[in-house]
Amino acid sequence: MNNVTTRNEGFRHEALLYAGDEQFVTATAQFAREGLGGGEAVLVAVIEPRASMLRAELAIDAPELEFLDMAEVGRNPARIIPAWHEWVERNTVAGRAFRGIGEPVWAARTRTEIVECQRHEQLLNTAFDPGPAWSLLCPYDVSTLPPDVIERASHTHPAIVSDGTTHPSASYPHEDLLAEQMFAAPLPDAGPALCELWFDIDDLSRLRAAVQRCAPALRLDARRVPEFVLVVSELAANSISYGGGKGRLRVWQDGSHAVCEVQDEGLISDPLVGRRKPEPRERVGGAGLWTVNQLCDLLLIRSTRERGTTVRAYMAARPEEALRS
Amino acid sequence: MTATREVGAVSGLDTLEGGDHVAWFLDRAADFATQAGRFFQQGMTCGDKLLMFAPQRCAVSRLPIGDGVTVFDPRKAFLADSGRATVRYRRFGSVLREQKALASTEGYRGVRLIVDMDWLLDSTVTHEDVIELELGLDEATAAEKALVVCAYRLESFTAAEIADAACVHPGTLNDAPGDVGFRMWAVSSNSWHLSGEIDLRARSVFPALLTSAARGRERLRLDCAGLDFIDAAGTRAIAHVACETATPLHLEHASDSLRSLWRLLDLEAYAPKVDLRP
Repeated sequence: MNNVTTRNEGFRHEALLYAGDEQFVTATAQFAREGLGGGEAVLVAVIEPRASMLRAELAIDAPELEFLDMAEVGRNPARIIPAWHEWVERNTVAGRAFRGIGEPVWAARTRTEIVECQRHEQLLNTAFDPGPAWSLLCPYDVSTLPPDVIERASHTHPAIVSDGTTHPSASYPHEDLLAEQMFAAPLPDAGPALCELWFDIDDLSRLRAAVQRCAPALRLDARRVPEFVLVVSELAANSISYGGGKGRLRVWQDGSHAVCEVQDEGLISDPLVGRRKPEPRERVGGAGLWTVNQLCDLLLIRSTRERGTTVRAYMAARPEEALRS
Repeated sequence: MTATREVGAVSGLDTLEGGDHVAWFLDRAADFATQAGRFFQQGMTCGDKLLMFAPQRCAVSRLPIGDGVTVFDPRKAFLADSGRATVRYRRFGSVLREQKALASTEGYRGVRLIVDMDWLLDSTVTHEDVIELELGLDEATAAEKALVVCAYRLESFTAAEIADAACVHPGTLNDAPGDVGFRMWAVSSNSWHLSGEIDLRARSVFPALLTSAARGRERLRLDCAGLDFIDAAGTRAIAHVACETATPLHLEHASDSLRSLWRLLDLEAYAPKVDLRP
């Protein structure tokens, strides 16, 4: 099914299975040192405290070694590919070889986030297979992540690194993660709606006003309320432009997030939609879902011929204790 | 100066003051002649010079005050020469300025003008031309503290044309089908106010309006204090206009949301001539 040798000539995407911090540091430090020793730039995108551990182990203060806080850049998994894109572009322009370490999945992720991380992992090959040669190592902690998540890693990575050896994944690419299946996964249950509206182009203002009125119940920080309203407006505008001219909005609070969902009759077929930074000079389309991805903490896109398109955006709310204090 | 302009829905022609520029939407039942006549009669009482830009066929004589009105047929007075369209359409504003100066020497208090937009029906004027014309009129109205009413008969224009016409007037009289959600109006020749909401409805008219206002200017100031919302496409349109016209744009009272969008969309490097200030 898979030819790793061929892939190694281009984008090499491997899952590193490790158990505990010590194995993480040993394996990732070796990968980083190989790169740095060969004159490559290395970007490490992992969460704390593993970033600090690796930094201490490498003990290298060099511009070729960069760190990105995955908790921040990867809070919404759809923002990770653009970060790698920027890295690839920067080094390609500089004529420098490069490699990366990216850990999008960690134990504290929710199930919903993990599904989106798996989608991200699969899309990495869609995004970077056509580009220059580079290696990305994705560590998975087998001591803290559920077995099905580890199994899934082999569905989304052409090769697996385990116990110091690399072998091709027999289950890559998994049929569940093929392009036509990507947008077909079921959505988590929706909460009771604080507001539910059908809309067309004449309702955009009314839609934003309705969401604004829901704001107290959404428990968003004041500065995030306009961002949430913008997210709703961009999603609704997409439905009007590409989803049959109309749609349905639902807004609710799920305990930890303000959530909005827009449904329409359209079909999204581009698996990388919203993950490419829009070219500033570009005039038509492309900026709405990108903007939404930058503003929200999680974005779920589901789209099939039978059911149309549903886009659900999550934005972290203030904890209830914070509201009482 | 900004505080003296009537912005939003106006209740009647008799409430207008100097500096107001109003789109007057007339349905089939509206009695144009009577209401326009009253507007002019009020102007005569106040000592205003009365002007009308109207097609030849417009029965000015039917107005109760017909004889006291100076009438210009736009096609003959402004568009007869073959100069560049942008220059020709700016003549509407220039003529208003000239008439105001003349009115002052003639002892009038000011000028009040009705533009019967039906003159467009017999012409090949484009959407961009109308925007050019209205922006020019708005600038002149603000500068000369004139009183200008543009009469749009709903039966003469499409809903989209009416909606677009509304956004280049700070004030509107009567409801119109559809609304693009925002207004742009002049403070002075290089300074404009943006108000309302810029979203999908404004996707074509907002860039056209901004381009028309920016083209050929040394710089353009946009006061965004009244702008309640702008989406990603509207934000990108500002950058595109600045680059295309090479006119530096100074956006004042830009909201946190607008400035944040500007950064997210990576427009700083693309459009360095745009300056956004809170």
